[in-house]
Amino acid sequence: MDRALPNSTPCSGDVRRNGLYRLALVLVGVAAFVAASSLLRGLQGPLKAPTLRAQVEAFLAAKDEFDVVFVGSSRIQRGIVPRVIDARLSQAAGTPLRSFNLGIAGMRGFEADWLIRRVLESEPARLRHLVVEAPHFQPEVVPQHDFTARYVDWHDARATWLVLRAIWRSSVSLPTKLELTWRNLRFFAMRSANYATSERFFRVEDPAWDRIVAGWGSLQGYQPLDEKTPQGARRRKRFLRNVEGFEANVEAIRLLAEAGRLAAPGSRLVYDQESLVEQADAIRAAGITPVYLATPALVRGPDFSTLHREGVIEHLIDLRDPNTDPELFSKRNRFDREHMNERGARILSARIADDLAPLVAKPVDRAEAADGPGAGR
Amino acid sequence: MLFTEFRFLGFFLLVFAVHWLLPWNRARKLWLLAASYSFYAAWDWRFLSLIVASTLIDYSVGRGLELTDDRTRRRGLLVVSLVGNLGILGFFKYYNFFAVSAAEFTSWLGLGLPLQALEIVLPMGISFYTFQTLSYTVDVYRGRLGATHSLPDFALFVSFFPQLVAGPIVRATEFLPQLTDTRHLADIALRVPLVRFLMGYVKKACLADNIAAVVDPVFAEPAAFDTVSLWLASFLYSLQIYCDFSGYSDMAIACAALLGYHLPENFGFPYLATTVQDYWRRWHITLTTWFRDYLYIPMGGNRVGPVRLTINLCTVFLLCGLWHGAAWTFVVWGVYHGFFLSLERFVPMRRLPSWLGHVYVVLVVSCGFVIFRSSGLAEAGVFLRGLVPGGATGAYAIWNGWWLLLVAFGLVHAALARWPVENPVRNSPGWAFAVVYGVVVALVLPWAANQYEPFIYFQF
Repeated sequence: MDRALPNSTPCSGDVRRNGLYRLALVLVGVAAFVAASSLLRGLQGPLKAPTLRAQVEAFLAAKDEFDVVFVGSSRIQRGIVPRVIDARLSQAAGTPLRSFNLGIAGMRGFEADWLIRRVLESEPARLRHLVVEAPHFQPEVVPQHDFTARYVDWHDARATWLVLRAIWRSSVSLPTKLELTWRNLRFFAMRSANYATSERFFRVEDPAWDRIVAGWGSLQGYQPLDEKTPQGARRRKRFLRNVEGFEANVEAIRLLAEAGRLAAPGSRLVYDQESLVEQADAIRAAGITPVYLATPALVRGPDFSTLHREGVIEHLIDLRDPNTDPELFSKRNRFDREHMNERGARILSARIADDLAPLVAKPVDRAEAADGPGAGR
Repeated sequence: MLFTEFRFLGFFLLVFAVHWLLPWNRARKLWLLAASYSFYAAWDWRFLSLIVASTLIDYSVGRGLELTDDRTRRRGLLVVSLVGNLGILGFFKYYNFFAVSAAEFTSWLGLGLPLQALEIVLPMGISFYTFQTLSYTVDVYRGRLGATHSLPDFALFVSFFPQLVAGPIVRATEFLPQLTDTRHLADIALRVPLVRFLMGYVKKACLADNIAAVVDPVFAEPAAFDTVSLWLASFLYSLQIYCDFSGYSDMAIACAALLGYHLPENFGFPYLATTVQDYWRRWHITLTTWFRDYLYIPMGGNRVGPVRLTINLCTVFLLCGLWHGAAWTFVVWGVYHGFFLSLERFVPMRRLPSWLGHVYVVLVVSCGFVIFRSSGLAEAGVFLRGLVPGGATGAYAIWNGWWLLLVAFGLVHAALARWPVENPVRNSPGWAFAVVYGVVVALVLPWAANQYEPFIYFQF
């Protein structure tokens, strides 16, 4: 503002104004801000983040064509080949079925939950089964996602409330609770204020973006890792450099599975079970059957087996045991430590399709599914 | 913690609320001191020790100066302060520059001094608070100011968080008297500082940070760009650094005002200047007046012959350049301005038509900033050569739409100088101000750059 605007000299009205009047003005200002921000949000287009929204756009463009949708992290994105699934499920059901891979790199429990709600809101006409990577509803902020447009974007009021509830129910230390609360509230504030979203005001035709969306659509969302890209080459090289470490890790997981100790110690203390129940209920309420999928990971996670035994998870496809599914843990079928290569993805997809087949073969009445077992748990 | 971050908003709201809830002035000052130290510690708590050391040195020296009239002892105490403060500043900011330069020079002579660069982290804002404490000691030494007896007051003067890391550089004569009065929230006009903070935010987050994304690649590789783009980038950088630094100053002055304190102005529409001398009266005012009062005038000021005057101006601006950073680019930038200031003593640029004066200042300042911003003198040379028609070697161009931003900025800059927003802000009804402020904040936030850029002047 420079020198032309000298700072505070009391103006005539200020002295006589009391605290309550000032507080009322603050509230008026906040209300005006909230109203204007909401209006502006309505004028904006969606976030265009290639790794996230292109895939969502590709799905929405053909949402009424799919019977089965997979939602999860990059393990889903790189590991599920919809065409393999389609062939097997169509054979089992005796009618052509189509699936879509809505796996997104780096997506964790609460973001996936937000995405599932967007899918349900779109009311896909044929969708009967939603296969969700068994979600890690643990309160955390992934460092590489901190302060990204994508992370801010999913922090709407409901998602933020779910995260905060999980944080304060968990047994993490008070400083960690405060830190996580602050971070998530900051994302919520940024989203509510449309912070740094000016580009969304401009809905320009973007052929490059359309090509990206078309690319996702052509493979029904499946995106294999490619050794020819610099990032893919780096990952692959890192994996090949430490294959022994990978095999030792598989052996450790095998022994843990043998001992029935795949769940991480204390995982139940930080796992927000209520979010999982609410998610499954929401899916069922839309007349869709939720199926949870524990992917063949090399880390110990939440205790999904117990949740399944206790009836919290009605349908669970559990692929975490190298003793029962050795091929999924073979280095020949892996691109890197966490992800399948194309051959492995086909094997994984076939394995999942076999487990899904009995469910899919049974005709589902949408109304019945909404009122069926487990609904409203 | 940057003023543009969400966490600063939380921090400031807490400081503001507690400050005005405390009924005693002494408690408020201690609260502000604790808040200021926390603010600095959020960057790196280890360097708090330097601020404390600087505070203790100058507080003790001030008390010592008060207790003695003996000239030798007084001079000795002044030397203690100068050595202590400039020693800390010199080590942290200039050791590597002088060590590497000396090693290169002696190596060129064939002597080869075994001086090596050290891994030194530059403490944030060290140049600002060092100059601030030095001004106190010199003023007490000269008898212009009585030594303060309250250590917390003095510590707050040195570390007051709104201006701790990037100014404005406050004199003890301006700030310490403000600490004796008890203020009341009802006496504080909140609207003007609120508007000022928002304008500072727009300058920093919406203009400077977005321009940085355009300008940085050009300065990283000037040889790749064509002449028009190089000119555009040099003008845009002039705009960026102005918006960055004056935006910070606006926010600092506004925060202080919301807490009931007055900080000096740091900018006066510098791009409306018609001579380089006029520009320096409008740009970083608290630094230029510091150099004027504590260096230029003691060197003889304007009452010396033309040759001595030229030498003095170039020396002062060389040091001003070095104050900004330990690199040859800053030295050359300082001397460059010293040269133009000297030139204007002999060539009456004031007589130019005002529009031509503006053009002259913008050209001189923008070319100067090319030297200032470049990573080295060689890169600055490539950039400056590229500004000459036919001198550019590259073909890359930046979007010409940015010229419109420059024109729009020039118009707004001139309009604000002529019609300050202060009166409409003060005279509007409270509810209207609240509604308009809320709506304007909502309109501004989407245009913030999508990442936090540190303030350029933090590094100084």
